[in-house]
Amino acid sequence: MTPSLALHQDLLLDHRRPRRGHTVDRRPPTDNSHLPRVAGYHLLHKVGEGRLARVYLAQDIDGAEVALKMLRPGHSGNAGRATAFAREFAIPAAIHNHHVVKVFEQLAVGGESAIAMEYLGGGHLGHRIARQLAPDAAVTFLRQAATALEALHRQGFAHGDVKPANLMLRSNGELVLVDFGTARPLAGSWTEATEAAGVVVGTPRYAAPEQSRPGPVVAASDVYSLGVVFFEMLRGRPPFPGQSVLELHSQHLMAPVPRLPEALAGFQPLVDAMLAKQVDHRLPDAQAVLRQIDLPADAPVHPAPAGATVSAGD
Amino acid sequence: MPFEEAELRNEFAPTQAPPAMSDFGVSALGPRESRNSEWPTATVATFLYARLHNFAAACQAMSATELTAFVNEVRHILSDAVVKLGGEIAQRRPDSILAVFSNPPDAKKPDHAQRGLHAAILAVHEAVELANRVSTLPHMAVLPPLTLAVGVHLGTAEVTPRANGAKGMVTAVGEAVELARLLEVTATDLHWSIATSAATSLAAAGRAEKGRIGSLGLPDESFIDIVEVTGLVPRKGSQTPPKVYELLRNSIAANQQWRKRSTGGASVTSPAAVVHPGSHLLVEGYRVLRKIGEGGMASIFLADAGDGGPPQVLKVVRMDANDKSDGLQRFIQEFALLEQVSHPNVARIFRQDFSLGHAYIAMEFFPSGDLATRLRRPLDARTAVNYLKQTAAGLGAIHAVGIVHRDLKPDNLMLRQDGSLALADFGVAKQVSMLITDTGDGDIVGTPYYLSPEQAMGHTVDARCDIYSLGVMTYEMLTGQKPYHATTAQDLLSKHVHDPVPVLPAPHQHLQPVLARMMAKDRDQRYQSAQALLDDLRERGL
Repeated sequence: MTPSLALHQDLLLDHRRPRRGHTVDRRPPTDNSHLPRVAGYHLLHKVGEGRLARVYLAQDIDGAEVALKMLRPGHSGNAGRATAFAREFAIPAAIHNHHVVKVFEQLAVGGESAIAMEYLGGGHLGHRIARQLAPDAAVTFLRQAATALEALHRQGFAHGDVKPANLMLRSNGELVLVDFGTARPLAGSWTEATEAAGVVVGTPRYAAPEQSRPGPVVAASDVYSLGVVFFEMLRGRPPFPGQSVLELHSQHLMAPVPRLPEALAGFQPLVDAMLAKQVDHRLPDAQAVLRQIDLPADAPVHPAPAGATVSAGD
Repeated sequence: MPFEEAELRNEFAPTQAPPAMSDFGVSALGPRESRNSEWPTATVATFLYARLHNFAAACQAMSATELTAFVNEVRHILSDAVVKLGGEIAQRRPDSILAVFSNPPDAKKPDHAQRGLHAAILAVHEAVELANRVSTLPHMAVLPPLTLAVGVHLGTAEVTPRANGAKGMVTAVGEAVELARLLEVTATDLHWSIATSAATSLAAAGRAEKGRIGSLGLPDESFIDIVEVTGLVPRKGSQTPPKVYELLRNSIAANQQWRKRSTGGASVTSPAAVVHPGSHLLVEGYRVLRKIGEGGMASIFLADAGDGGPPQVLKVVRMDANDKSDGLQRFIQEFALLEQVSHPNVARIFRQDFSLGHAYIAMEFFPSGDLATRLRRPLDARTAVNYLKQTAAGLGAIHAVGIVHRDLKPDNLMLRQDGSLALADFGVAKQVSMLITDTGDGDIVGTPYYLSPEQAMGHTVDARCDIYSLGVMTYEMLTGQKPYHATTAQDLLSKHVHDPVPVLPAPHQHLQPVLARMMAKDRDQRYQSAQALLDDLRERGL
């Protein structure tokens, strides 16, 4: 039996799968009566979906666009998830930084938690770095992400899951840090987040080596993850090619940081300093990253001259 | 039959323009306030939900006169089948019907399941006749064909007469009603004409001819077994000529053929209209016995293929329409490769397919467990070498089609009763359980006891990494110990990269050169293929 790709594509587009107790939805796309109802908001359509939450584009009573992030049904009863979700509001609410997502209010919708926040119309960074970025664009994004993280670190938290999907873009192209569900106080321990050693906090491709073993929460873990993102922006692919959690984790621990091509070699010291395996060899926090980026051209870290030769790019 | 006024009010008058799509398929279980407290609240009955597909498209293409006749005819077809078999109507829409078949509480031999399924079969037959007539209208030929999908389920729901006393009309609310609706959707998705729960088919005392089987996962993680109904079985001593049954069987088959055809192309909607991915999992051809594992996007079940053979392992991975990861692409590619592997030392893949937003693989089930468990007791040297050879042969087979295992370890070698050993959890089968999802948080890292130096160093990986892992395993099979131990993963990896190949104890000295060529740090110094390893073992008389 040969699986037909055409059939498969068709199935991927299948929209007829109902939830139990609901009839099949065959209404035209403009109809939004199948969306959850939230007092004070008019939901337009779903814009994203994760394991724990769904995000809808909505209008508030003034007609302004907002994103409504709603915990999937059934998760509000789970203490750990409810706490993580509460953090997603509380932490960005306490930080006033242009590159941290703006949150407006916390809601309860039919017993489930929801957050109204700024709608980010530009998608996430992952879509942009599928192709390699021009070096100055990469540095701009790096600086904006580091600015947000610097504010977070100053507030006494590490993010814990810095990755392209959590670096979203406003419609005007500005980068915004989102998703504070894995954030932890800097004094705490990563393992508190997972209750067990050997469980990765964050996403295997981006998580720092220390994020899967017992030990204190450090801001340097975010620096590492941001380093992976920065490398990916420069090269169009992440530094380590692992295809399983074990391979990736081993490579974060063991594999040397790949050398950048000559045109980008000026960034090598910065990349190396962000991707150091040992926490004490790494730039300690986002402030240190910002300082490195802004070093003058004759300092040890040399950003590539503007217009450096890179083939692909926006 | 006469139609009640209250019913008519809810529907469009036949002469008007066809209704907007949004009038269809809306869940309305009837006015709850009409529940009558004198009536028993929970009734065991058989519930039927039938729905004519492509109804709206047909309406839109018709002239006003045609439309009047057509809408009335559809209404009759759906109602008549129900009424003929003594059913009551719980809800009627222009294109669908929800009906209840029940027996009085003191009935000696309840026959509502038979009647419900019988009505479903009749309705399909009538719908096919109608579709045939409609398709002869010149301007209808290009339209997607009318097809009926029916879900029938025996279960419990609250059934109460209508407050307005409408004859033959009831209100039905409850789990069994929802399941009947879900089964209609299931029938639609699987291109079946009639889908019923296995229990309903059983209760119908052999009157329903059974076709394919499947399992329908419910949001609470339970499963119900489902059966396709393909025909009506004559009652004992029935005087009805056999050709009537033949006719019904043919109608059901025709309806299903049209269904398949009509869903081949049309009905692509904008992604904004995509409903939340259903929480129900649908697998055709298997009866799910129990869940045996869960990880990432995958669930693993023990399932019965309904062919009388031993149970199989069913690995199911959810694939979201918005999943654009290269993981999915890889999955599809390797999918094809895996089919080409047929070797005694590779776990048998019985079937693999995509099913409604899920990809699944049905594999051999190994009740005897894996080599890791077996290694808790020492192996004798002969068995160890035998396992080494079998594993190498299995690796040769997957390498031949371009699959690298990448995670060879005793946990992935499965034992059979006859002493043979089979590779499992590689390629797609592996990815089903440990695909990198990039969604993060909560992934579990194993200990890299068997990882090759090049995997640790982030180099490109080829088949020779499996030879290294096999070397580590060979050491362990011979000595009962892993070659490298360390307190941290980092130290362990460092040993894979830098430490010399471990030395086998005296009794196994003759295997040291073999181990050295499997575990060489530099892969150019290793056996270049599993076959080269096997050849060398044979030359050494092993």
